[in-house]
Amino acid sequence: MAQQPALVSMAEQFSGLPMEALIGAPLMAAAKANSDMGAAQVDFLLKTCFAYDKEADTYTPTMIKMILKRGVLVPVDPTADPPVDPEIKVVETEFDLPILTILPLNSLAVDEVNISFHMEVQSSFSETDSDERTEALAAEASWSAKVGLGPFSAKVKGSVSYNSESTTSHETYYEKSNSAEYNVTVHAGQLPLPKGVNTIIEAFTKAIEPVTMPVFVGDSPG
Amino acid sequence: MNINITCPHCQSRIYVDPAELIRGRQFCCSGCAVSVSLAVESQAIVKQSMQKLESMQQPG
Ligand SMILES: [Zn+2]
Repeated sequence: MAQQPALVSMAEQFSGLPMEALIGAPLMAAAKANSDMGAAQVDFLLKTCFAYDKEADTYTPTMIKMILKRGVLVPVDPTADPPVDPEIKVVETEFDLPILTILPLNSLAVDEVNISFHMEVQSSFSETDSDERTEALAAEASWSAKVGLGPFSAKVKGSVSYNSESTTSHETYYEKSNSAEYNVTVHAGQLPLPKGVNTIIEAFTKAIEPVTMPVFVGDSPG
Repeated sequence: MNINITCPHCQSRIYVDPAELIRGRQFCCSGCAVSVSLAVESQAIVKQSMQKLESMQQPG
């Protein structure tokens, strides 16, 4: 019985794979994507949230105007006749805020890279199991005769041979396949803002001095 | 995504939705009775910046 050929060894197949490139390339791509996204964010911050003074080579934060409203209780004149009810007056105050503090800045980054393999190795075997049998049959018959005629005599010898040959062969086609997978999944998500950027925003936020406008209620400053 | 700004009056946090802020919505301080909103003259620049930020954060 013909022995089943062994499948191609997967270990052998993988040993030929450029594993460094397979794993390293997506990782490098992710790192590069992160770096690009970081650079884009810095560019955005500088161009959108700051005004650049070429001469002084300084960046000044772009400010936006906010309106703060609060209710102020209007003092009542106790001598008023008829007595008036206390009144709450809404007072508007303007304050400036760096635009940087109100933009929902978050770092967009590749936060997950999954690499899995999908490799299909097909090993097939064509086995020619040539079952060859050669049969040779030889039959030999010989005869001899003496022919005599006068002074002449001749000996004639003859032979007949029989030769038979038969050949049979069969072929076995044997195929099996192994497969492995190689998939690369890259996921980009929001990461918390880097501490450095947070610190800058905090600094700006803390630097907002509440500018309280003098509130005038009637004729007297509140 | 909400952001928070410090209340200039009481230093508490005021949680603000920038998209709503552009539309003129007021946000109340959790620590005092003040409310903040974006001045009309600043709405355009904030809207523009928000659009730039969104296009930058669009993956792909
Ligand atoms: Zn407050």
